[in-house]
Amino acid sequence: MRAAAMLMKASSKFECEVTVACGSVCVNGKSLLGLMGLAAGKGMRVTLTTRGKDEVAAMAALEALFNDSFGEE
Amino acid sequence: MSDPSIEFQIEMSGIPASPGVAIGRAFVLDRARLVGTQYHLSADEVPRELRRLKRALVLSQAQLQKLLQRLIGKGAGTEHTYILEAHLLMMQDPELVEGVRKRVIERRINAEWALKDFLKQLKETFSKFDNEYFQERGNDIDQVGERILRNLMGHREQSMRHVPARSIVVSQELTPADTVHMLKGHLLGFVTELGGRTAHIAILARALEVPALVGVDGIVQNICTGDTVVVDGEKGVIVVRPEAHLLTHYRARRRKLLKLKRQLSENRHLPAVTADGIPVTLSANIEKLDELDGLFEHGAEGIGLYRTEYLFLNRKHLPDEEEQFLAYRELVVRAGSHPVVIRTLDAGADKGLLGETKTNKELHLSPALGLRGVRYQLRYLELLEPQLRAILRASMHGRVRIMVPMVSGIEELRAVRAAVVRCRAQLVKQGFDIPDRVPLGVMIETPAAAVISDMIAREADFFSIGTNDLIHYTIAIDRVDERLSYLYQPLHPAVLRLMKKVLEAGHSAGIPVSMCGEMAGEALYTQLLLGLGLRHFSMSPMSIPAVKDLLRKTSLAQCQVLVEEALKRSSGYEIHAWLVEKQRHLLP
Repeated sequence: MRAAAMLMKASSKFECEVTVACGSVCVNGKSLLGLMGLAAGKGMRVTLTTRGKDEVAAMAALEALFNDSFGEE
Repeated sequence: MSDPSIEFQIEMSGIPASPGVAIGRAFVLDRARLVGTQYHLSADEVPRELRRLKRALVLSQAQLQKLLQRLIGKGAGTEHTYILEAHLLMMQDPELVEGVRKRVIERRINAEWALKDFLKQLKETFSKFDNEYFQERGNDIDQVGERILRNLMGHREQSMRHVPARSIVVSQELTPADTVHMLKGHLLGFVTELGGRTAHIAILARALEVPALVGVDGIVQNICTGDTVVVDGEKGVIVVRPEAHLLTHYRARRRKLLKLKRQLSENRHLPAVTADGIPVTLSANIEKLDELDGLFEHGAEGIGLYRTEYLFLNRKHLPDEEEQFLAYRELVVRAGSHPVVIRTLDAGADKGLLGETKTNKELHLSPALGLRGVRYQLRYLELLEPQLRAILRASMHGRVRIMVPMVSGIEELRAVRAAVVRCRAQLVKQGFDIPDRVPLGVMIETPAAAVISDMIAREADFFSIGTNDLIHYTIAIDRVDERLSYLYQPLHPAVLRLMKKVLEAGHSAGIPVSMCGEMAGEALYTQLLLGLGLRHFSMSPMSIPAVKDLLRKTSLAQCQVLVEEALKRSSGYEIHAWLVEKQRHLLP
């Protein structure tokens, strides 16, 4: 849930729409409940989509979060 | 929360509080758990409901925020605070906020219901995944949901206003504040977990002539709003989600009981006299004016107790003299040539809960042995005097008697008498033609008043024995504690002796003595009470036909023998068992 919360907080800083897809499920990246419902565990493949005014910046920030393993070792 | 997987029939038992059989849909008013009631809204109620939801969400977030600050202030690390932070995020979550709002708007349901429905669906999504994950997330969601619900319900509207017609209301407890909007013919029955035969709801159910069951331990957890239920107010049984054959059985039983009731009420035109010609008065106890409609159908001769509390319940402002006068006048006029006993406000104990003014809040706290009845009236003369003036003015339109509740000493009667004299003088000065002497009587319901009834009789114009409280106070039991209901024995020798004393005191002073407690309405006790010397019984109108039926079959000589034998026995249980056996052939 920690990762979900971080992702949600990061997404919420941007104006653009953020969607996160895992398997066949696709949720709003600004909704913690939505992200929790993905039940995406470590090592699972997710697809990020950003759409809107600041979509490029948003994608860069979110990618950084993933690359940093959400601050975990 | 009721387990939705329980779909099978459940049968539970309780204390039968009002007779008859009801079959209908349950409406659950759950107070102990934060389940919340479920009701539909009208279109114009939706905006208000959305505001209520928003307030609850804002409040919930503020509470969590505060909690979080306190934790951080204590130096708690992120491993402790992140759960709370997550909860906070969930509360602000657009999915949640919009999901609940959408349900309120589209389905026109109240916020509690919408929230529960949303959370339920959310948990279902999670349950698709492995168990451990679901359980953890499920707990988080429950905690978030509970906080919002609690804040929603803190601003709960008068929930009983939303009870659909023809429901059977099931709750832990139903207070006068819950039931103030209930009208005759609206609901089919009541079931509560708390209370005994004299709980407020029992009295109300008898007045509304619907079955009721009290003391049904754990019923709220076993029933959902909308479930079909059968309530048997004679045997003390409730069946939830009955199987088809049982439903058929109860439908037949219901028809049979209704037929019996109809047959009994055919005696309404017959005089209330014993087989050996002793005339008896049977009058009605009522709380609300709409009960007047059914009154004389049952053969009531006058009103032996009008409880004025209902006029005062759930109000922002207390009813003034004029409003009270209009109510009392209607009562007196509709009673025609029959006398009407108006009891002054008996606030306190389980009848608290007036509106919002300061004195009202104090009422809410009054325990059974505290500031209630005449004690309250004398402390707040600004409440008593307008009531007395209204009653005195109504006395110009019929036969009115004033009865004072909860008297424990002679000074209380004297003080009320002085207030009556004062109020009358004011009214006469204003030009009202008030009768010289409106009878002022005492409700004998404290053991102290019963013991000195011979002394009170010299100054009171009549007595009325209030058995419910007299029994509770004599045996020293709390009327709402269901664990003690086994101690409630109307035939306890101490109670019988006190009643005998009061009747003798009244007779030797030459003042009338009636009985307006629930005991007067039970045919099982009729012979015994007649034998003790009682000639005036006041009861829920629906009880009159059965009592009349019994007294017409009995002779006074028989009753006196019965009393002699009863008074020789030393245990209430023994007397009860013996009396049931003795009367087996007389009772239906």
